[in-house]
Amino acid sequence: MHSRPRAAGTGRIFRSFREVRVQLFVTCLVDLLQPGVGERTVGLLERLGCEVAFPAGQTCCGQPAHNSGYTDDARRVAERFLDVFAATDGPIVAPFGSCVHMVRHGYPRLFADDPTRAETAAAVAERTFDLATFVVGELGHDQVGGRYPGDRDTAVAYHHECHMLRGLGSAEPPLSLLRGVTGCRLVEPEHGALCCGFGGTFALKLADVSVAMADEKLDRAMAAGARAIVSTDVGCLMHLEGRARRRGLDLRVHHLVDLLEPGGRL
Amino acid sequence: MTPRVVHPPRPEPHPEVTTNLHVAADNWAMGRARVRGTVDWEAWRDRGSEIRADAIRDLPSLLDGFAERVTAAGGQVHRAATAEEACARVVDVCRRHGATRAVKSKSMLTEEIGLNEALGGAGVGVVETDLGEYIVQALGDRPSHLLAPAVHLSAAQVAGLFGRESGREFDPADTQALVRHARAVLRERFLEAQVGITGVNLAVAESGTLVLVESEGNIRLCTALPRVHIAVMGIEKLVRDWAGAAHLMQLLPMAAHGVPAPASLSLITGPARDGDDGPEELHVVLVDDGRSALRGTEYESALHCIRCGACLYACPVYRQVGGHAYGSTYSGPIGAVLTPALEGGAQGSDELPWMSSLCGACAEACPVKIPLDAQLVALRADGARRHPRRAEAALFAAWSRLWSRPGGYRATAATAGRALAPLWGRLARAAAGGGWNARAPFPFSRWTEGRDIRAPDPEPFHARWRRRRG
Amino acid sequence: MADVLAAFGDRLALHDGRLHVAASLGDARGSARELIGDATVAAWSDDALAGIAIAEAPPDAAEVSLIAADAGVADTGQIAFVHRAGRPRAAGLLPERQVALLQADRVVASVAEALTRLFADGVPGNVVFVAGPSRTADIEQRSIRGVHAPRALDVIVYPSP
Repeated sequence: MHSRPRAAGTGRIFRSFREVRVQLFVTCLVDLLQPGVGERTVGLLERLGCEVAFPAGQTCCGQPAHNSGYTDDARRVAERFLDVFAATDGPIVAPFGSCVHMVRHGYPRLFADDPTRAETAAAVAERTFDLATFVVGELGHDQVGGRYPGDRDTAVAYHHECHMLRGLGSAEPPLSLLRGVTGCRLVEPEHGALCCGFGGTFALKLADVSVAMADEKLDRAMAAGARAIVSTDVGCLMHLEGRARRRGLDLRVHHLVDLLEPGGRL
Repeated sequence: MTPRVVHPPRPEPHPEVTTNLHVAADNWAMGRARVRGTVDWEAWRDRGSEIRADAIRDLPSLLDGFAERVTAAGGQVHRAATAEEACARVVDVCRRHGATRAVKSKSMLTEEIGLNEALGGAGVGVVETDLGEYIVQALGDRPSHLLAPAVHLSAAQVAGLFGRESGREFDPADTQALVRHARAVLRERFLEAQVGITGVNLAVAESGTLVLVESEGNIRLCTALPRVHIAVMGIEKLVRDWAGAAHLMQLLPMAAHGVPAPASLSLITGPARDGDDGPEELHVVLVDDGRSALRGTEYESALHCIRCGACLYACPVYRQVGGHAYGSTYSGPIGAVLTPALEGGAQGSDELPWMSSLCGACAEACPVKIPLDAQLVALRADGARRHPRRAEAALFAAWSRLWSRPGGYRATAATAGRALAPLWGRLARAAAGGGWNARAPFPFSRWTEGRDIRAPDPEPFHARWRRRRG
Repeated sequence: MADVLAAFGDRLALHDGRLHVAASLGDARGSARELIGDATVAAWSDDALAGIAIAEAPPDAAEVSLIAADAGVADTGQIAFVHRAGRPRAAGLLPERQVALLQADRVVASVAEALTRLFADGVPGNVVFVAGPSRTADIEQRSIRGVHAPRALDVIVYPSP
């Protein structure tokens, strides 16, 4: 993890009249559990003038195995990722910061003993972005519109994915995009950067602690007046929504792209 | 075996501890915000990291130089490879002086090596003089945070303890009175003690100097009144020179409390001289206890730790479970790294790296940039090799073979829905309506103890793409 | 010099210490007497402190500790002193209040500079840096001053003769 947040994007701004061909890295969680997020991501990118390609052979970045200490297994799946995406050109975009963090920061360690793979990984990592950073930093749009459902100004709290906030140093792009959404306003809970307790297998292994962490996150959001929580991490969203429902809380949960491109369809 | 591991981790939320921890963590966070707003914090961290890395890289020769200079200044150096040896050296010094009463300042290292028990066994009564440690000792409890040992206790518990000690009643809200009581009791102990035992925050190789940091004044008393001072020091506490020491003397209080200086700093070079009426003898016990074995490994940078406690305050898991849950001398993220690294995974310590959601707040908080989160993952890999969990390993092996091929991945997606449908019963039927369920079968049953779960969508994105876009 | 002194005063105040600037050693001694009032004093035998203490008492009974400091650090608000003959440890430690006299030209900007000066004739056996009162927050995070060392620190700076 980097100690100092990097500025969003590398400064290569694509003009909107020139079509950018983007490789969609949909991520396994979105693919299998929240495919609608994938559709809305495609819809948004296409609205912004991108041509979206979907490399069909993609599976997963390998993070679950890596984080559980099964490095050989993680490597096997990561090699698949590299084979698929190294055969493409142009930016690779995922609606999920954690997976991008794995590619950018996990892969150099995973392939440290394999110079050829390491080189490929570095080249791929350099053009892999999370959606918000890509839209703001690479395409150059601070806001892209969007609407919050309902007819009043809903107070929303933004929950940063830990790996995106601390790992990628990308805090401002999702906030910037959220500010462009009509029908909602941003509130800032105290200790808003605290982990929500999802943490992948952590949510099952240390389930009681995980739920206690969700409670603190939800309580603080409500204390700040939020009626909804927005994030880009499908795992965090399922965890927070699942707990909010169990507690019967009047709190909605949305992926950022749900608000940016509510009608997005394939 | 060392008492470094007391019991296996118990990762349960402790709401009764949470309030105090949240206040302490909030105070810490305010201090950190203040520091970030005042100095170029990243530059301070970079320099801090360099200074510590330099010392650990060159540790053997710096230690030799340090020992020479302590000796030249009139101090006595004892090298201890293990915890047992370290305790034995301290007991020897006490015996040689016929000492039966010692006062002691807070030192996690002395906890780690079980010094108080060893001294007790040798007929030396030890009184902890740091207020938090004093309370914890009197209650027969264990410290739960590097800097705030009694953070898990309430004022009512302290008032009760002092009431029993003195035969008087204390109002838990009158903190001043509680502190005055402790001050009076401890004053007696300082005056009657024959030996003062301390840890060491930093040691400067350039001049053979011990640097001791405190807020309360008890360290100065331990090292002023008794005739003998025994300093127990982890070998990793060394820095090369005064340029580095000056930086760390400020970095430590900035990282721990958000202030540029602690209440007091003592720089001790040998026993008292030039007419100073301090201790006649200084003994420095250099303790290894597994530390040098970490040099040259992935965990070498864990030796850079300056024991500021920031990672504990930053950790979202620590703030829910408290220090005792880790079951080891060192708790929080640094404990979850150091303990298994030093123990080689023994005594159940391979469970510790799992006390983390890998959020990275610890690495971000660390003033010397130890990559704690990466080390936790590396320790999980070590643990998987040392103490394999067969079912889990088999699951990931199957998973990686299936998911390294698109055919395998798609087949999992397709069959999982169908195969699990009978098991998930209502869940599968509800899926079409985006339904939620309050129960899920293994392996997801732990999820639904506290959370509802939504059934996966029957058509994954990749299938939808193929159907709509060809 | 004025800047360094001002910065020192600000930082000292951060730690709840108080800075007094005297026009001369005589004035400094006068300020010290005022601060001490009727209280009993345990004093070091530095020349600068001569004639200040009226009611003396042993360190474990005295109400005020009267010391001379050897350095002040503007960056951190610390004072520093070297323990040697004529400077009993207990007298600088046990009383509840502390008054320290410090020559203005010994106030420097950084810790590094202070160390250079203090180590000019070799590293002494015992040097203490103090930043304000002793304190604890060990009981339910409530901040209390004056645990084992003085709870109040007054620093009187005077120009070198």
